[in-house]
Amino acid sequence: MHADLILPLTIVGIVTGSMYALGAMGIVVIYKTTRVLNFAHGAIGMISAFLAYQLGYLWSMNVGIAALSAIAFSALLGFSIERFTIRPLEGKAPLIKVVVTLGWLLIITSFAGIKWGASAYHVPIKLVPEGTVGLPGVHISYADLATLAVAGVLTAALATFFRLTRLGVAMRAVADDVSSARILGIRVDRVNSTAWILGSVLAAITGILLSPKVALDTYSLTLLVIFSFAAALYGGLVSLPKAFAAAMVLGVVQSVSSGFLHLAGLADLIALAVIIFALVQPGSALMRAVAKEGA
Amino acid sequence: MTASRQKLARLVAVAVAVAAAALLPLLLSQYRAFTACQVLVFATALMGLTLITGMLGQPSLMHAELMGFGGFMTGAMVANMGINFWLAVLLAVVAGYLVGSVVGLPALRIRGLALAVVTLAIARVFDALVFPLRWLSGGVGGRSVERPTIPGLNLGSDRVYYEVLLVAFLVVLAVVLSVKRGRIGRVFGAIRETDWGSASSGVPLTRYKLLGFSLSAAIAALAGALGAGLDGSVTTQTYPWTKSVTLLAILTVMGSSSVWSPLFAAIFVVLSPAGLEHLPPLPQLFSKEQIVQFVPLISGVSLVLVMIFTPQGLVPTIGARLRKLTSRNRSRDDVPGTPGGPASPMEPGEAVGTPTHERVGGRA
Repeated sequence: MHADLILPLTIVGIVTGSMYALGAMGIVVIYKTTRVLNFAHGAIGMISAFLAYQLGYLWSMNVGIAALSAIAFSALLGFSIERFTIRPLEGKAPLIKVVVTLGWLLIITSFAGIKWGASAYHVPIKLVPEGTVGLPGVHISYADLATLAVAGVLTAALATFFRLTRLGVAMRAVADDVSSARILGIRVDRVNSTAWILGSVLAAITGILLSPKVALDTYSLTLLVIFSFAAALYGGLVSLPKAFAAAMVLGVVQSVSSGFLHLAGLADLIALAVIIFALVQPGSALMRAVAKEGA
Repeated sequence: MTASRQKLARLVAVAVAVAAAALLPLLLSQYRAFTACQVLVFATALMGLTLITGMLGQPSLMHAELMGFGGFMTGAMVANMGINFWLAVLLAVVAGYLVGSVVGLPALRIRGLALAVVTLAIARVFDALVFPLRWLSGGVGGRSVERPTIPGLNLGSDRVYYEVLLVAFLVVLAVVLSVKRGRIGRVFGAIRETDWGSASSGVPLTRYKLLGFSLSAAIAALAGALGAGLDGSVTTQTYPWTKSVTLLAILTVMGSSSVWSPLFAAIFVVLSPAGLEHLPPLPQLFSKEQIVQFVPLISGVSLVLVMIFTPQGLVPTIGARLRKLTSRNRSRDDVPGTPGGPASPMEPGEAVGTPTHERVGGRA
């Protein structure tokens, strides 16, 4: 491998990392507020991308309207999941709620498989015009740049939101102590709903932005979530900036290592290593979070 | 009834049940016998899943991959090393046990939902890295595995191969039952409820957790190996990643704390695709490929419903109801003075129903 490949591979890795970061945002938003790890996150993004494809490609609607409709649908889906299947479990073990999201993973993936075909390839809608920007040794498409920009802006915006806005602070309060938050007059149900809507919208944005890059089938987008989990876990499932940084590092390490070693599944192996490291490192944020709630 | 007569009655009941199970293929057509074989393969594998999910309280999202590993190992050893199928199965089970010890290592530090993510990542590594290895899977086409032979027995017939699978299932059932009812089972229960608590009272957590994962993986590998012999082949399509989620889902729906749930779960997993194909109006509206997808769909819907309404699962819930019903009838016969009076608080049915309402897979 040539040393001059390292720079282009790093740039590719940063783009890949920004995809993971986008996925991690929604996972963190939902966990940070409701203490539920949403296994259906990738599936929500996947079905939103499919809906955009149905409207924008099959029914030849305006691409922007198709994407907005799909995002509205994901908000409704997230709201329904929380309102009808998570809220009735209030006060029960966190693991029960997580198992419910596994159920939704199955429901959404198999529904999309029945509707659109599980293994068939579909033409994704493209929000960003085609074209590339020349960087040293590598050309980056506008779509990749947009992904990177959206991921960066959303991370900053969400981190600010949790720190500075009333609703954001209320969300953190609910996460810390539900009953105290309720006594202080925070409408816990509404906060939980908001978190799920926000998280699902983030999943939809991720799915629609990534579908031109990752194959639009029912599995690829759903499975991409494992890399986002790795990044989110590194931030203890609560820290957005840490998750963003971890996603970038994961993307770059995967990309650069693929230049040294051609091994199928190397990316997954690295993700597994990151997940395990994030979980067992002494004083990891997640260990503390998990110890606190006894999950 | 005295205790010894009760014991005898139970022994007779078990013997009758085993004999009925052994004679079942005589009633089945060749096609149905194959289906019954598949049920036994999955029931065996799911027995392994109850060990970690039901008893240790750790949800695992990699069980189908462990089955696939067993199948591929057996096929690979027969093809590459030219050894006997049964020896290959034995080695695959040992390999499964070792893999279980390795993939169980993270569980020593991690539990609950975080461990579920780890098992999902391990499943991905199996799918993307381990299964594509040419030595193991023989490339994209997968491995063909010839049906094994035993001198004097025609294992080529599914009716006869069924008996082999039944023996394997019963052995695994006996192992799981003895684990559950013995010392190890009590330790597992303690770990499930509070692992730091049990560690502080002197339970060697490391040993027992690894034992649970290793046994579970060995059982999955055994089921996968025998399943490869049944199907005649094993490919990466045999165990897609959704299978692991479906298996965990349907076992949880049935209730992973009961040793009978694997059988019911396996019956659902195997029979529902064929059943749905003939269920009007589905065949008119959907293709075969689409109908197969209804199995995870139904599993997902029932998983969500069961979690909301009866998290300990269907088999324990229905079992408790039935026991309540029969014991109430009995008390009506025995004590005429109290017709259908309030059940005593110490009734077995009650004991299952009340304190476990927050369990997933037996874990609070």
